Amino acid sequence: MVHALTTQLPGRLLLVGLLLCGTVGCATGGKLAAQADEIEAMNASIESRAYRCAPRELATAQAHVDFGKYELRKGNFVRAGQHLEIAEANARAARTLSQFEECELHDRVIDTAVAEGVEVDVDPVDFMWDSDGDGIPDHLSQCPHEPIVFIGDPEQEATGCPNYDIDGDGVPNILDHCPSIPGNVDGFSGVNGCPMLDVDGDGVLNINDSCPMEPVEFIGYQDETGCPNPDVDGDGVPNILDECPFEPGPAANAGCPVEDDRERLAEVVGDRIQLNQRVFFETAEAVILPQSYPLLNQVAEILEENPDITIEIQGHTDSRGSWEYNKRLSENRAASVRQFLIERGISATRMTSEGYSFDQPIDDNSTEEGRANNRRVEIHITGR
Amino acid sequence: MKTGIAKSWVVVLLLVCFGLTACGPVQSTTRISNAEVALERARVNDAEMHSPYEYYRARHYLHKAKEEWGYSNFEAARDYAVEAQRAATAAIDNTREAPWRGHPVLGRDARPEDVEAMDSDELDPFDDGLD
Repeated sequence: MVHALTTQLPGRLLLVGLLLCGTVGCATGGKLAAQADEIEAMNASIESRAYRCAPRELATAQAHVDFGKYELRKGNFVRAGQHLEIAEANARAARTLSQFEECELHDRVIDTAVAEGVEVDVDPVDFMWDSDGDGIPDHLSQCPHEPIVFIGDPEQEATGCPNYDIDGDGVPNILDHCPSIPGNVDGFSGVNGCPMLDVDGDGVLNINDSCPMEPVEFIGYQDETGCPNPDVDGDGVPNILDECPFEPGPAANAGCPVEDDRERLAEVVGDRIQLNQRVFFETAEAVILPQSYPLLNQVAEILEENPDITIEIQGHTDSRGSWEYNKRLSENRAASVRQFLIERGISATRMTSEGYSFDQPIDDNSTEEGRANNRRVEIHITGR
Repeated sequence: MKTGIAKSWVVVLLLVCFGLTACGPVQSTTRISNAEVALERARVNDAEMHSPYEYYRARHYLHKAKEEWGYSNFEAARDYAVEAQRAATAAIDNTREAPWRGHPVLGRDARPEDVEAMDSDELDPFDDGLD
């Protein structure tokens, strides 16, 4: 056992030593390589300025980085470290010397001073020369090498410089379908550089549209606001449900007006409200029979619909009986009609009543039919 | 007769051996020599003053070429010598055609210490590695 240990120990120590050396070497090499990379990056960043302001330091830094990397590849870490130390010091010095703005290298001008006595032929300036071929001579153009974009832009023609976005809408002329018209009118971006004058497409221009983003959703309808109107005829039935969107009507009839199928018992004809039915009274009395109520109700509706109309209600009789009796009877009957209308809500001031006895017959009083026609009520329009 | 033939063979063998082993040293030596000539011409033309970047680059590479030659790294020595000669030639051209006008602010003898002295009084010596 002891013998085995004494024979194996040197070998193990050698192995451990080799591993240790290898690890230290790898770590040192990696560190130096990183240093070299950093110095190289520094050199690259200052090269253009340092060439003018610190040429010696720059040359030294670059050369020694090169040497250091070469030594690293060969595994000579000591020599690599020496080179990199010099390179770093010089790179720092070059950076320090190059921090002036004057160090910026614009052009490496070759100084070619013309010796005295040498005559140099100078061609006369051709004032009509047009390098960019845009029709504006070089001596008048601020951009003699950039042709202007010809879209009738006087500003370009004045300066000789191209304007690649004449309407200034952010879309270059070459892509702008409307190069002279800004595509962002009224705050709305158009398409392909063209203005979108009616964003919601409802036929009302944005400038006139109170609701530029909301189309009037109802086809065929358009008001001055450009805003959607959900119920055009205002009948309480939305357009989308209204079968007659332009005509008010009850919801029960799908928004359509209900046709009045009643018999028209009274209507305005000329200066009269013509009664198509007789007003029936009790015999020899001024009491209106219920069967005439629909007729007089329609008269009341006509007066309600035409609030400016004033009327005279006339009572007429046939020729039977005395004139005075018929006069009184006709007056009472006319007054009954007036009272009926008053009770239906018509203002009394709009109506007068008068009895004419049998003074104004319209038919033959010798026949029953003629007398029946003469017993009548007439309504005359006296004012509108 | 046989002795003469054997001598000839020995001479041929020696020449071959010499050619095989001395190719590197000869080439690198030639390159180093050429670079030295070019650098000397640059020095005479005041390239150190008028084209310092190229001049010092040539100096550093020539120095390294000689160092590698000393370590018998003839290939590296040759490469560094070639670069030194190229830089020396460029230094001569620049000296004649586009001479350096010095640091635009601090002049020809600008040192990092001058800049640092502008901001602070601390001076930081540096070494360019040349003897």
